[in-house]
Amino acid sequence: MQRTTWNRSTNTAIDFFRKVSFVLPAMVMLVLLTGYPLFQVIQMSFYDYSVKSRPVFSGTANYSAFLHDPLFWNALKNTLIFTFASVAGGLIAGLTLALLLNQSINSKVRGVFRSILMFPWLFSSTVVAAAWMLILNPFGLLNWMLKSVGLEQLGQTAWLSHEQLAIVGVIFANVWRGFPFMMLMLLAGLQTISKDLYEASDIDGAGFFQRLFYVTLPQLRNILLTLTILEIIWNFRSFDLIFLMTGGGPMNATEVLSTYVYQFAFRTLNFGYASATAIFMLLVMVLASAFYLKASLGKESN
Amino acid sequence: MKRRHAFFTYLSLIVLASIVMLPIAWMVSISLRANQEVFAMPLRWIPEHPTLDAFRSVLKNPNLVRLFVNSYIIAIAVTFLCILFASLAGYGFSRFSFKGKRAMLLYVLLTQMFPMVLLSIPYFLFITRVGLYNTYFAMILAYTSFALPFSIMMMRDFIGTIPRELDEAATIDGCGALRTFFSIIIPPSLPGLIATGVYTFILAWNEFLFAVVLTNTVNVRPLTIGIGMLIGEYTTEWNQLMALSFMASVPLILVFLFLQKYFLQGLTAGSVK
Repeated sequence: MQRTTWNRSTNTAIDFFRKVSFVLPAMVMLVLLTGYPLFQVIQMSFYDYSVKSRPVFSGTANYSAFLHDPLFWNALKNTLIFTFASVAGGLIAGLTLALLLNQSINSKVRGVFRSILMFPWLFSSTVVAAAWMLILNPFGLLNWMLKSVGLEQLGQTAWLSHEQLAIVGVIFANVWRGFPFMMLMLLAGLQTISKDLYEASDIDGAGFFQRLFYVTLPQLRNILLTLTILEIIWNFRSFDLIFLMTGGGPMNATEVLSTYVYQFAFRTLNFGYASATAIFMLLVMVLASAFYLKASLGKESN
Repeated sequence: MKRRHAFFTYLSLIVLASIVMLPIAWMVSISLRANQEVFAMPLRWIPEHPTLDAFRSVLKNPNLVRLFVNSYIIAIAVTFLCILFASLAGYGFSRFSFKGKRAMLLYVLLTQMFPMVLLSIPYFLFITRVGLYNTYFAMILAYTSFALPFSIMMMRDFIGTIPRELDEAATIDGCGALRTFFSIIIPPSLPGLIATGVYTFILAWNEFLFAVVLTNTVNVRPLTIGIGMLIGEYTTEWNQLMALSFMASVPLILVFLFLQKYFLQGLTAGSVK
């Protein structure tokens, strides 16, 4: 921004206010809606804060309590499995479809496929949960399909009430809903890659995988990185789908940190304990995304 | 060689898209049958006796109709608020440099990382204390808190793609900042505004957690909760559940199909650099 030099000293305050006034409404709103509540949660996490009694300061008791709860570690483990599998599955599915859509095909046909493939992303978690619960039902579509290809044994499974397989079912539904966004972003990235690079690699006689690993993926580096971090954040905190499909069960097999916090906040009404666990979640997310924050803000300097 | 290549591309796309569409097709198929036909063996894709009964019973239930109205009220209000605040902020962040800008941006990015369940605790306590439990107002505020950060980033990225020469010319012509914003920046950022709008609408229409925590009567509860309750209450009535799910998803699909040109452009504006 060029600044006129002659009135610089007299007008800096006005100038500052004029510039800041555009972002101020949103910032005030955000601070009121997220900053103050965050402050409250931090405060609560150091108190014995439940509906039954007056809040009593308890130091770090809440923190050491959840760190000593095996169910917390179980929830953390499930969260990591859920996050990793969802992000990896979504990236693989998204990249595969983005690569296919990026082939030299009729642009109208491409558009139609791209729209159709975006559909799952538009469904709410309740709808996704309902649809997949129907499919994963013991008498549902999946088992019927497994049986009709001869997998009689597997076709008897009660997916969502099976201790090991329940999380697989939830992850499937989650990947189904999540991959379109990744596909869309990766396709946008693919379309910015210069054709020259591919022509050059053709001349060098590169095969499909060589092109993928030496041209395409390096060119997608930034977008892949941003996307991975965003998806880790979103999946790490996800709640709806698991809460609706399994409620954390069977036997805590799909309990993740979000549902764990929810249980303690709204079933046990132990707000202090729930707050401490939620703060733990936030810390993990901030640490995991420090790099993303740095990269996003780095764009500012140029 | 070229033609064979295209053939395989189309073939793979058709196969993969069919797999992706399977749950949706199944949902529609189930919604078009009587309940005793839901698990009838062998399963068939086309119902033996197609019927709209499930849709009729959903529409005859005033509670379920109420859920639709609630969802529209909340989603439209949130969309409006987000567009308003985010376009102003997006312009400010994209065009001006001022003290504290980095800190503010960092804060916006950080709020994107808040676990929803973290915010739900203080919201619940505050909302019940001030007597706003079961009000649209409380939900609209809560929804705005999580839709706004991404909207701001989207608008900032989008306005960043509009040439600065445009507003510099306007400044030279003597336009004030507000005038420049409305007459120079807003028209070319319409696609970005629509994109942000569609995004927040989808987000608000689909939200679940805050709705559970901040309400307990059907008078203000949105559709997502309605479907969630049906899952708990009568998973036996799969045909009605699927009919309601289908009806809940159609508005979003229509919004998306009509506005996708802008939506896709706006959503990917800043991410691809």
